[in-house]
Amino acid sequence: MTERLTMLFHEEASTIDVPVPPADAVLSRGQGLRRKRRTVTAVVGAVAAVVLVGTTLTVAATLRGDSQLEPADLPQEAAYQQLGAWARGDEVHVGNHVAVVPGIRSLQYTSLGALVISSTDDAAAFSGATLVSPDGTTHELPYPGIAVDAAASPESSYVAYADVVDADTWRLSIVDLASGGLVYTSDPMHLGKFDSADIVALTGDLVTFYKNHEVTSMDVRSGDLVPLPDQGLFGQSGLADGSFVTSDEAGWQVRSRDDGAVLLSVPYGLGGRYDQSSISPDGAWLSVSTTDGMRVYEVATGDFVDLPGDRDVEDYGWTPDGHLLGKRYPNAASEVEVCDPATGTCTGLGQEVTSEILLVRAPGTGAAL
Amino acid sequence: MATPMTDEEFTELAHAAWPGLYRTAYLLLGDHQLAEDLTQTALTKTYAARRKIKDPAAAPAYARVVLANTATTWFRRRSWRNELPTEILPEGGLDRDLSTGPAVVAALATLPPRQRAVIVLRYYDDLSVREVAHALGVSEGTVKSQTSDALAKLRAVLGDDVVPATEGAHHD
Repeated sequence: MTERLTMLFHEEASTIDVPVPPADAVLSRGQGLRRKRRTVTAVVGAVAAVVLVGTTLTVAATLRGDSQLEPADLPQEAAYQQLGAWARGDEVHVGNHVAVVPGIRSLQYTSLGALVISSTDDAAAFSGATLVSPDGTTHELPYPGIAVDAAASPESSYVAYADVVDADTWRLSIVDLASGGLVYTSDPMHLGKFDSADIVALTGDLVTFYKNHEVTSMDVRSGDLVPLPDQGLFGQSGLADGSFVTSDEAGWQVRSRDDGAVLLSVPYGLGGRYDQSSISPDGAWLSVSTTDGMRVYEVATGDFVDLPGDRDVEDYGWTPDGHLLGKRYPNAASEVEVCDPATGTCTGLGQEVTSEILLVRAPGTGAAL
Repeated sequence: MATPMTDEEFTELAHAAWPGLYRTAYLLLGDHQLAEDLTQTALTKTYAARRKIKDPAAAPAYARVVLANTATTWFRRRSWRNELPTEILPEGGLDRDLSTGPAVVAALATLPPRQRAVIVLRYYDDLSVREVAHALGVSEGTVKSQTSDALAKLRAVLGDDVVPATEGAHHD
């Protein structure tokens, strides 16, 4: 298969001239970086103390010995809808609250709060699933099969995941976090040697998954398979409630889930080599890369706003209600921000950007940064 | 709490890990100066984070993930975003006689940076799909699709002997 490619890689790489390692410079820079991080941590802590006036710090209290609660600026549910969820280190920011979950690996939205998949073992894909409610409380979930590629939706309390039976067999399982019950489990499905079972998205009542490299959707209420009407030249590259994104050699198309009708077309070229797109969970907005930031289209009208500067589609996810949530590049002094896709107005959350920030990405386009 | 590596232990690690990390960096970037900067940056970050590394034996792997992550960050910068894959060979540094046949390293230069990263990590560093996804901060599905696209392009340059056509039929 690819053994020859690998062999040639190693053969050719062995001839690359390797300079002498500048160990002293590494140590010197490393010591400087440690000092800088300590300083930044202290500054961020001071900023956070100011920012958190008017917000609450809840579950973190159990680990930090700080149980002070302050009234929220926005009702908790509204804050969750508008500000969404993101993570930095072991902190999960949900609406106006901050919770602590060690080893965060991925974030998803549910109608009940943010679903956090975590693992404190780098070699393991999973060690726990936690729901962080809009009020900041955490609830450990008793579903050992839920892994990083589980799928959830801000409109639903359901979570779909690939329940691995053994090395060759899996089942599609769906649990309802509201009732705690298993609402669907498929017959065991066989995995071939090169097959994989990936749950792609839960949008509306449809769960979409890869099975033997084919994209398949199923109605979680009826169990009926619902094929995408038209996957375009390169297959779907984003899923939303009622629509999906395809691409061809010319650009992106947002299509109706019902009949495949093109709702919006956007040509390539705005982003140079890095044309990327991301559709909001409700299908109302499509963001695309430009060479100077992002452009956000309203799917229904084709109107757009530009978000210029050091912003990239990859660095922005969506909040449950369709605001953009993300960060500027790590090498630019900036902060986590929420942007209104209708006006292009961005509001900083007072949290410094780090390279470790984790976002809820658009369904069907992957998990996190 | 594990005892962090001493400066002496880290220096020893840096010397041992440097050649492998440097070669990966060169394959990712195709430029000696950038490869040196990237490798040095990865080791610097590893040093700064060494208190988090419980097992010193895991430090090289940690540095490799940091290296890939840092490369990804560089790719997102505007100068990389506007970079076009090249039809010419990368700068000098290879002793291989390219006249004997197509060079894999040269073929890499025809790929966009992210596809190049996926191929290098998968087929040179022998990381799994999951590990590559973790290192680059993308989903496993993205790794699979980028791998498939990149292999198809490499096949066009290197031929079926090096990249069999069946490799395009699956992503794993």
